[in-house]
Amino acid sequence: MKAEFRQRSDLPRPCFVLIFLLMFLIGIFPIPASAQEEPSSLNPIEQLLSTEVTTVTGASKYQQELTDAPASVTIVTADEIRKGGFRNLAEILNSVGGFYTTYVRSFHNIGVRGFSPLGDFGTRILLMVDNYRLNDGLYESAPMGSDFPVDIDLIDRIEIIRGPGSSLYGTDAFLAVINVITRRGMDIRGGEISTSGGSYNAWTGRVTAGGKPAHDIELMFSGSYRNSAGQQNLSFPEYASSNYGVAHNLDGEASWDLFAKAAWQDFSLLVLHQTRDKSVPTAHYGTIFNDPGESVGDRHTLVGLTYAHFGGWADLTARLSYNRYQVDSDYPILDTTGLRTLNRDDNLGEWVDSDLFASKTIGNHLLTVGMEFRWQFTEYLHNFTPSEPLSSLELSNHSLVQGYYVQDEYHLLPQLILYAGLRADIYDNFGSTFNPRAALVWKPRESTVLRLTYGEAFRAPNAYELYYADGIYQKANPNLNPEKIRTLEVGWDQYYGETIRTTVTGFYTRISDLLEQVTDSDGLLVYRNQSRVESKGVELQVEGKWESGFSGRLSYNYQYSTYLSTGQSLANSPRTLVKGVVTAPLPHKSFATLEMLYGSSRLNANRQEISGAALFNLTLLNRDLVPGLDLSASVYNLFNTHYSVPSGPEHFNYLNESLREIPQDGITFRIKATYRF
Amino acid sequence: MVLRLLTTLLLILLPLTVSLGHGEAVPQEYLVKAKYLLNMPLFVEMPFQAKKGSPYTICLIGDTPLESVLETSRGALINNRPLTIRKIEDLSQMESCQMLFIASSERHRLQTLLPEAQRRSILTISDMRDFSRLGGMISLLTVNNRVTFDLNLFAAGKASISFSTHLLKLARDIIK
Repeated sequence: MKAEFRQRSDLPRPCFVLIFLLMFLIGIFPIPASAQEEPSSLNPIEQLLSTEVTTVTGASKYQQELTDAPASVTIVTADEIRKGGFRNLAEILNSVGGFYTTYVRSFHNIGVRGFSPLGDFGTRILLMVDNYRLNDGLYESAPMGSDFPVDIDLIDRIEIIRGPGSSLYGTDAFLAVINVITRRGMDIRGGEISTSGGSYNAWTGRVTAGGKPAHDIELMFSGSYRNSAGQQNLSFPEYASSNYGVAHNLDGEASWDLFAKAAWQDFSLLVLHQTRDKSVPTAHYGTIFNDPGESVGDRHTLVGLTYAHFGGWADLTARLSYNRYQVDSDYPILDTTGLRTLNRDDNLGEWVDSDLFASKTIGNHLLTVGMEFRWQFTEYLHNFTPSEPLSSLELSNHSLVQGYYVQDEYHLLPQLILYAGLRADIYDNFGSTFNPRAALVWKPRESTVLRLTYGEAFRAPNAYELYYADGIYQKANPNLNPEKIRTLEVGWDQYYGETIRTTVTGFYTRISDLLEQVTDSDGLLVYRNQSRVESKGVELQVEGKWESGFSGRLSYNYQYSTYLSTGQSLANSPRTLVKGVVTAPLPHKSFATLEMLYGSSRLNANRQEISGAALFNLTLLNRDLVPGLDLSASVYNLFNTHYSVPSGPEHFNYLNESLREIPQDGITFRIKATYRF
Repeated sequence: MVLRLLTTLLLILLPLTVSLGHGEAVPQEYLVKAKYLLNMPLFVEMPFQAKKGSPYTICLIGDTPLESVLETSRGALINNRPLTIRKIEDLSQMESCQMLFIASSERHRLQTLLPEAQRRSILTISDMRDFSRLGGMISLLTVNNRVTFDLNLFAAGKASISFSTHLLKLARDIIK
């Protein structure tokens, strides 16, 4: 057991600790003056109107101060995203304490607090854009990597709410709720063009326009594309029997998206679409390795309308959306005669979601009641081999999800808030599930927040797990029940002066009825409510922000997750995560940001240990060298550390050779220019 | 490794606790709200011409972290008048106030506090929900991570208080 959390980065240990300390010492002693971020000619009220304070909307479905929220919350702002040089949502989340990514070179899976099963579809985090649910109605998966359908330059801030959220949101709000708030037309005021170029022939471009043409109207339009050739040669030594284990020109990715937003009085409209295509270099599900036909393509579409009226008898929000998710995968395989052919997945989900809720203050209570209906009218799974028309498999389903919820924020004393919430969800297949959350938030002093939270959450079985049956390898199990998680969490936030905040969190979690694929007695694969998992851990974080432009954050996570039946530790579950970031202002409105990410070793699907790594990223950003122009240069994986992430059970080729690990990128760079006018 | 990191963290945290623990320590939203209180008088026309040099008194009623934040600005000049901060308990102590901040905890007795303040031409301000709709003059609220404000012209007018056009332009919502 001891061996498992040995630190195995390329850097010697003392060096690592030293850099770590140095980053923080720099952060703690800010250099004064000279580097004031934006000298202001504004009057005092205008200055106050533009000062950011941290609030969160996703924790209670209404806006509240961070110190009042019934959960451990991290906010990532647009400013941090620009200064950190992040290229996609997964990189942003990976910089947050307790989060880690598994990039299998087709999708990014995000793990939280040591939980990220391999071969999974990323179904246990609820992802929202402007409070609209993004998890699809087919797999329930959240597009958190390069498949995130919004250009990250359009993000205003990201709310990361740890812990169970099913008491307000229903399924998928299992480990965390992530709410991405996009910029408003008013924030753009004119136009923006942006372009970047980087390693592996990666190019991006974006055009955005927005403004406030009339007193109560806001508009915004944006379009962007991204293209990358990827690594020319990726080495998978386990597949040495084909092409010496090298996947040649199989890491390319291309995507484009459209985004539009309009607001008029209490109404707002959001339209977004993204199309992405990625080559898959790893070979998976028994495909031919190094075959240029292997790829995955996904298309996300969302049209949402919100009515939100604050004040009056009660605060009222009504949200209606149409969502479409299409995912096509091509699998090069050998047909029955031994010839190479292409097998295809052609899946489509369409659903309409409506959410209606109201909040009202009654004495010392802030009461919220709401209901949600989701009509998943297309759940279409289609697998076929064009050259073998008889082997086609086609499944079409639909389902209705109803949710009814209530939450009370009760101010017992001026310094003590009690939250109590419950949501009932009713499904066509398994019936109903009830998920409560209770939290006590106590502020014994203005600078101290103590939090105690107990919550339950669930993840409903998705259409694939319930119905997919090909009669050869896999059979259906329509009797699946939801997975359940129960979490107890204590938190202590402490503010030191105006600039420093420390957070200490401890959690204990039990997951039951985990949905896992097993081989049945008849030799067919089938999903079952199988394992029970226990995990416990601590999270420590220090963050500081100074007026000079200096900022820093350091987080440390230790967690331990095991199967309750066997006592074995979980795969893809690093014991230790350490993240540090420090931004220093330089002359001429420039900033240097150094980020450090460390994750300890993890086990792959075959329980082999894949070593951890410490990575360093550096970004230099200059603002307004020419008025309106932002320039940035980033180097990722500064020390060219060779590292890998664990492979999943699906990573085997047609020769039945299994991958041990998936190699990640070495040192890469990017330069980026954004011009506002 | 784990132990070493924990120790490192503790070493970082401990001096912070010691060196910074004594200072005023409040989340940023309160600092912004306090600055609003200090700056609002510049944009508000009060009915009585104050004597030069007489203090400008901001009164606070109820439990609010603003008290400790404002304390640090005691004596600062507001419209050339030295600032005083008073924590009051009830109506009878309202006399010398030019501005009254009402904490959320006093919501239950708003209907007795507001008419009294109005009668004495005291500017009322609060960060409780719906304050301006309940008859308060300036409501501070947080929207999209920024502290903004609503104005109630009707309530202010009854107390013969008027807002500068600049303030009216910047308000999020105006109740007439």
